[in-house]
Amino acid sequence: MSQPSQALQIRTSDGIVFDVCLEVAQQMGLTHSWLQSERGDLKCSDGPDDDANVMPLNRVRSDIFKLVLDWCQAVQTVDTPLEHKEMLQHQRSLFQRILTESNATDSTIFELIIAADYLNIDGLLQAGTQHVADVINGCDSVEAIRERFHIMYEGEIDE
Amino acid sequence: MSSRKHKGAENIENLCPVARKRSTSKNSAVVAAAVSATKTSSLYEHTSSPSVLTFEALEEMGIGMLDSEESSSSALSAITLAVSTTSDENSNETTPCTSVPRMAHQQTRMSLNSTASTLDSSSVNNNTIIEVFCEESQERLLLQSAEKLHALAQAKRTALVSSECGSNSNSPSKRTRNPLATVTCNNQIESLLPPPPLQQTPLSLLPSTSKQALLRQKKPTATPPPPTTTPTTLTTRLGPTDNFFVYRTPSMSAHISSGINYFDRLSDEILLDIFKWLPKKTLLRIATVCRRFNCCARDETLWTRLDLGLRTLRPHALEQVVRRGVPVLRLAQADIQDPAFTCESSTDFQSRLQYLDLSLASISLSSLRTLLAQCRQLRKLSLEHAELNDEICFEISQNSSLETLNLSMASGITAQSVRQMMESLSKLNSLNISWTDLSADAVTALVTHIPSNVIRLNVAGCRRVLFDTHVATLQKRCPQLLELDLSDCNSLTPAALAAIMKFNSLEYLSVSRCYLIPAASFIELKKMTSLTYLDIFGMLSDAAMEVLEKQMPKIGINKFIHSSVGRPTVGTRRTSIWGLRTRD
Repeated sequence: MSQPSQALQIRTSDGIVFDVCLEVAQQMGLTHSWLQSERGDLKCSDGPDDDANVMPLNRVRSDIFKLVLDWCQAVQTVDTPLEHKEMLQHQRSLFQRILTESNATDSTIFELIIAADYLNIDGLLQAGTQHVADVINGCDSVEAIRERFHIMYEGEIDE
Repeated sequence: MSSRKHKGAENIENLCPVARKRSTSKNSAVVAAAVSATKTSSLYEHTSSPSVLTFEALEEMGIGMLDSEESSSSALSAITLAVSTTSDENSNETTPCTSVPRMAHQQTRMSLNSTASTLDSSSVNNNTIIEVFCEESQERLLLQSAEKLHALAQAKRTALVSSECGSNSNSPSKRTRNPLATVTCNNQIESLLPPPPLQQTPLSLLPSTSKQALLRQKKPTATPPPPTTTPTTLTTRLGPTDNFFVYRTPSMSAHISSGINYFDRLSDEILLDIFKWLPKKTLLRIATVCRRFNCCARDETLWTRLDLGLRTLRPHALEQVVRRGVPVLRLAQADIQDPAFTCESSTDFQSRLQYLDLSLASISLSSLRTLLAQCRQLRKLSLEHAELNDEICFEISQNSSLETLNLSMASGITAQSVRQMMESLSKLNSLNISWTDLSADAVTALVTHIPSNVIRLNVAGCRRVLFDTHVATLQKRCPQLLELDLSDCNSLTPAALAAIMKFNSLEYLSVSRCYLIPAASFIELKKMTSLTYLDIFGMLSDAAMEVLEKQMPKIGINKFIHSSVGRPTVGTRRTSIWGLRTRD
């Protein structure tokens, strides 16, 4: 059995390697399945430099991944198991916090959602989609929605 | 260019569904031809620039026929509704509907051109001329006493005013493009009419280009409006002249096209994830944002349930709702205005409705029939207090998966209908047919044909028509009955109790106000091991009640005032029907 290292190494699309503790990594469905498929096979105690132990993440950039990690770690620190609704709210507020802390732009928000989908992190995906939904709700009119999100209106729409 | 033009023509068709329906394809071709003909010729008259300019330039400037969708179709539907219904509001005579949209199409084309040419040119003169002939045309129009045109103008004005107030900010009619508030234009108009004299002439209705050219030549001078040369204000000032278009100013559209639309990076799945958080109103609004949103917003996973209780549904609104494919629909106490369906809709469309609550809804017989004719997958249906007839009952009976049927206090149920429903609804297990004024024949039909699956039955209120023999027959048909409500069936005698005793699984029994059954006989019921609740309201004095309670300690007596058989909403759960949530 390979050494029970507590950290998993993940390399993002721009080549930066992150050390992620296993607990956090477990939150991500993608790493979870990766761990189960690949790491289980590795018997030899290779050094940490070994490329094979680093999980590649080709679709996520480092800055986004950092935010994802922040979120996962924050969620991790919740001790008492919350009820579903409370959990949602908590995750939402975490999400908001991360956004404001990092001066997130629209690009960041959407990248986060895409990353959450790719990494298969349900909580983050819910929080992100809720956030965007709130923004949509906040727009007063259809035109406002288009302006806010730069959506081109290209043709007749049947009601 | 040609493809765009084509799209344009197509779009026009979409502007007015009514026109599309009524006019033959030949007509629409004529319209399109006429329209494009007039367009090109008028262009040559006005400006020196080639006609190529119109479409291309417009597209580039981000101005299109597009926001038209919102304002135009609502405006047009406003027109058609205003015009086609004998509305006292407008105090017009009704104009044939076909003429309205055709003229509308022409007219919108006109305004499109006028704006195009205006925007294109920088000369004030051009503006003046166009403004002038607009004014001229309006004067001409008003002078013409042709009823058609007058009605049309009126309708146009109403639509226009609504679109005007919509173009700047949100008028309620525009904000929610939902079918449930199909047209509120008419109501708004009243407060806004008559248009202030200073208002830019809203009507640039031009029947023919030759006249238009004529006018232009005739009156080169008139009080021109203050020549604001910035395109922005020009456009907004001309806003009112474009009846059905909300024009984006060049600056606004530049802003939109300069930013990145991040939604393009999201998969449809994620988009649905976002949409699922939205309340229905926003969902309908967002469906008009762009084509992709429209597709996604229609996804059936977002429309699994809908609560329209206590709402008023305008004509044809119900049809739209049903067409969304909603499986769980609550329309309790809704007011469904006629006609709820257009005449084409009754053929071949199968709705996906499975759980339908129409308790206390006001709906006409024909609308109800059309609605039910489209339902073949109903599982639970409540028509409490509804007016029924044989045809409606026939449609009900065609829903072979129906499990729960609540017809309490409904009227118009004949013996034949009862028989038909009982014979066809083989999966029925909860039936509430209380207080429906059943005839003796109907009761007989009920008990002789009732499917054996029925485990909850409420036949309360069958005064003088339900006899002991019926109960006996019922027992033979449905020996597994769990709940039986026979209250107010005052022809029942103690002999009925003998039959009742044969129900081996009966848990709940009500014989309230069956005065022919003496108090002493109730003690017999103690022998029924399964019986848990007994309602005998109005039968015993308090003292006798106490005695009985002591004698039958295991049975809850008089615990339920209201029957819950088949009822969608019971107790405090106000908006869920049969345990299914309807609110978001």
